[in-house]
Amino acid sequence: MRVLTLAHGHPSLRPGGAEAAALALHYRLRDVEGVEPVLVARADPATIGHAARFGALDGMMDQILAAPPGEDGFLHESADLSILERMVRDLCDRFRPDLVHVQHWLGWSLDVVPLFRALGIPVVLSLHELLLPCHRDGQMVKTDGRLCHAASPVACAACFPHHPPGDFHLRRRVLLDRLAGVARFVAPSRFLAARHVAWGLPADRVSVIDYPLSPDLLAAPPPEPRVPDGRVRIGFFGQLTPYKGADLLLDAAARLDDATARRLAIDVHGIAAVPPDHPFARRLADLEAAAGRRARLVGPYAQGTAVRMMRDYDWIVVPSLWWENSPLVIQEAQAAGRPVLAADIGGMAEKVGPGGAPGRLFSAGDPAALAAALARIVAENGAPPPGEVRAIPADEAGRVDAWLAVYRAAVATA
Amino acid sequence: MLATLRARPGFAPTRVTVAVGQASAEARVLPAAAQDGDTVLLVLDLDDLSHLPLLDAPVRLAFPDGSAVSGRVAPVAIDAAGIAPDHAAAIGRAAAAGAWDPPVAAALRWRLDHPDIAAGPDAGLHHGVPMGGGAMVAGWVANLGDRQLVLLSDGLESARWGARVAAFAWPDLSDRLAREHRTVTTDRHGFAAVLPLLRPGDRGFLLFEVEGHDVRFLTRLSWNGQGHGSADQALADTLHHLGRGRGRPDPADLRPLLARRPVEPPRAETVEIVAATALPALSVVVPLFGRPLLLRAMLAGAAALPPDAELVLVCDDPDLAPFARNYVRDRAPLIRRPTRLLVNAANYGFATACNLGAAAARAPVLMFLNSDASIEDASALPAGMAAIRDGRFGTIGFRLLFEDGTVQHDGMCFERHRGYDDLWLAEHPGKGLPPRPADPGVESVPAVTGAALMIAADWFAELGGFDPGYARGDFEDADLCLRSAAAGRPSGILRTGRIVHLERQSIGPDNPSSRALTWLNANRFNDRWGAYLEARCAS
Repeated sequence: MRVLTLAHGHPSLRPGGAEAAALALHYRLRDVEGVEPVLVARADPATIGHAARFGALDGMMDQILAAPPGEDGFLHESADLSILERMVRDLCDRFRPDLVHVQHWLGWSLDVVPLFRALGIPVVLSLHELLLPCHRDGQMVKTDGRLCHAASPVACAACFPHHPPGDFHLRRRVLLDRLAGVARFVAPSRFLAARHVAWGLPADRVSVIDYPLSPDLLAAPPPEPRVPDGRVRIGFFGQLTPYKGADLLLDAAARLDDATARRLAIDVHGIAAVPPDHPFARRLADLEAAAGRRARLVGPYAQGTAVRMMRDYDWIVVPSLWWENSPLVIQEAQAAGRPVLAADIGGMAEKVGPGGAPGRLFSAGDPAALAAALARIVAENGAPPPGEVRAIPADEAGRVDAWLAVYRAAVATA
Repeated sequence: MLATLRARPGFAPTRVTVAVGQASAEARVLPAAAQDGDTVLLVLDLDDLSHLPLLDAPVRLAFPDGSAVSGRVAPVAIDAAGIAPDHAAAIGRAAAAGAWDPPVAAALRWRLDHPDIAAGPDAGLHHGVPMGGGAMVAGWVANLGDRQLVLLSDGLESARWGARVAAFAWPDLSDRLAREHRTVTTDRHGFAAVLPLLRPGDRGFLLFEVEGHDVRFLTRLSWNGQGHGSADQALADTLHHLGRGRGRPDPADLRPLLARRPVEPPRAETVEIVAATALPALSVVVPLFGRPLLLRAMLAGAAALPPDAELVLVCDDPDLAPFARNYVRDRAPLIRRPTRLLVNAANYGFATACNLGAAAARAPVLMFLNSDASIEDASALPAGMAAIRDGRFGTIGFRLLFEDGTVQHDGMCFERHRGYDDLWLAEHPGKGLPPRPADPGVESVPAVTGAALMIAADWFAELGGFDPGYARGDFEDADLCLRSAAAGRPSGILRTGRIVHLERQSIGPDNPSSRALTWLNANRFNDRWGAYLEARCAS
């Protein structure tokens, strides 16, 4: 089976959870007999290295870079369908795919679905965040910071007052229309699937398969206990965006009593996703100053090093202020053998705790609740919650098979 | 070009031939009731020739009755510098005799009556983009509405009015006028036009409003040597606002916007670098432009060429010429193939550079090779030469790869392109994608790229070489392949060996006018091949 996967980026060019998930599945599929996967990742034209819409990343012929013409940000229509049409045709001519897996259509536009369908090729589409229902970067967080529970014309227009509510009715209708030819939607969490079904995707065509681990994570050496140094160490790993909650963690650190704080060290590892003069960057700097010696912004970390670095910590915090889908950082923490303290919403609530990665939840967005949870960890000397420690989730082995079943079913019904 | 000539007794011809050196051009004499000794106006029908030699040198004027005189041509200018009295008189007589349409004549009369012109505050230039022999212009006139504009280029080459000046809405300007507490009566402030022909160096035009005999001079608008504004935007405005029928401006307006050709025949100095001891079997012709690195790599890779090949390097870049000359001479002991270097007198472009190289080549088979192409395994070349010799194929191309091993060229095909006004364009299928497993033989394809193209020398000469009428290295190869195929010898491609083509790295990233140039070239290409491709597509 020849599987052509479209991604919105390649992790070696731009870090990101969905990008990493696409590459991980690609590598896993390469090991399956009878499957010939090709990953086509969107890239900035300058990174392709020559004057063409396509190129091969570092000469790897199964990892193609592509520069589609872009899309408009509201209806996600291609900026130049005549070019996109040629690109789709070129890909089909060259790779003769039995199936197209749209890992992410961002930058490609949703027009890829009808274009591949017009050539008779079945399309499977992954859901990663909430970009279909939510025009606000797919986060379902309102402009005032509150969590959003359901998209609706009126609710969306409240976030975007220059759009009349009817615009969002039309947006939903157009997007659903573009997606009509998708054989199967696959979400990494039940939460994400439910949100999309509530928005309008047909429930009988939406499956849940959590992200298969990358070969790197599978091959990570078995976890070992941390060598105690008299302090409980807490690590944050992730992009420093307003949605990931690094600011909440610094705020919580400042609220700890001195006795607790003396026994605690919090390190924030992350890449600044905003320019230094951005209000969020200033807020982080102010909060770091207020947290004093309790917490520090360490800076960026190299790809593929997270698991090793996490082993220097007792707990990993995932304090996201948005719902999350199935955070890579939780997979990494589990592979590192470290428990996770996560916000109690969306994909985090689903993936942490009994049946998932070892760890605990705290009330999302509440710095006092996070501070209390940190204090409890300190009181327990950083010990993990009781229960079995597994570096690899119990259901992991079945994930690639589940994908193959989805592919086969899509091909069979085409 | 508009120029003047002194009338002689009994002067009444409508045409004269103007000759300078070997070059000559037909000129039309504008009608005028000229007296003996009066100055009359000539319109030199030079199309896209450069006029400079005519202005600098004494010319010979041959009249239809067989008589001839020597003289000098004086160009006419109506720009801010003022008009010579005898020129003004000549313009006045020609205008009175109906040489121009009434609105243009009215504007010219106004100009003759007003020696000093001052720029007015009611108009401005949005873009003035020189292209080929003309320019695309757009600007604004406050509260233009439905009033009629007349545009006269500085040298009077181009006069535009009526349907050839588009007016359009420009609401932002209404806001600006309102902020300046000026009256706003309409949103239609914008205008766009093509000035199809300009005298070399012309960078401006006069702008008038004309209603019957009522003339109001607005201003003179001008741009600098680089032009003002982006070529892509200019083309977009031109297409959008001047579009007619299928959305194309009048092709007659566009043709002069393509490359201006020099009046002098192209010349090149030949420098013998490594002499040939026997007649070569293959001449590899490499036009050089831009970066020295490409020339250095080309010479270093010469050893990969078949032993009976010669190199013909054509330096088409005056800036590169001093380096090329010294470097190639210096490296001569290490060049393993017979080599000559041609140093062109000017930058003539891809087609002319290749044609000059072909003329200097000695072998019966030519291979044109871009300087940014690198032959790393030449095993396909003997097969190409054999295919050329047996006559089944007129042009042989090669599969070319990018630096990452993906396909740069695997044969070209022709398709209508919605993004280019439904014109036929040459497409590169599979570009940037991994190459397919290759068969060793020659496969027939609609056309091949000129970046690495083999052709018999005599066939190339018979076809007339590459057409220099396309601007800046585009379509010449497709055009040559189609001429060859139409004459019975189609194109073929070889996919063995390894040739890497770092496309367009010799001329740097696409500049903003590339899309506009492609569109203009496509118009020329479609004028010639549209019906042919349509018929082939239908069959």
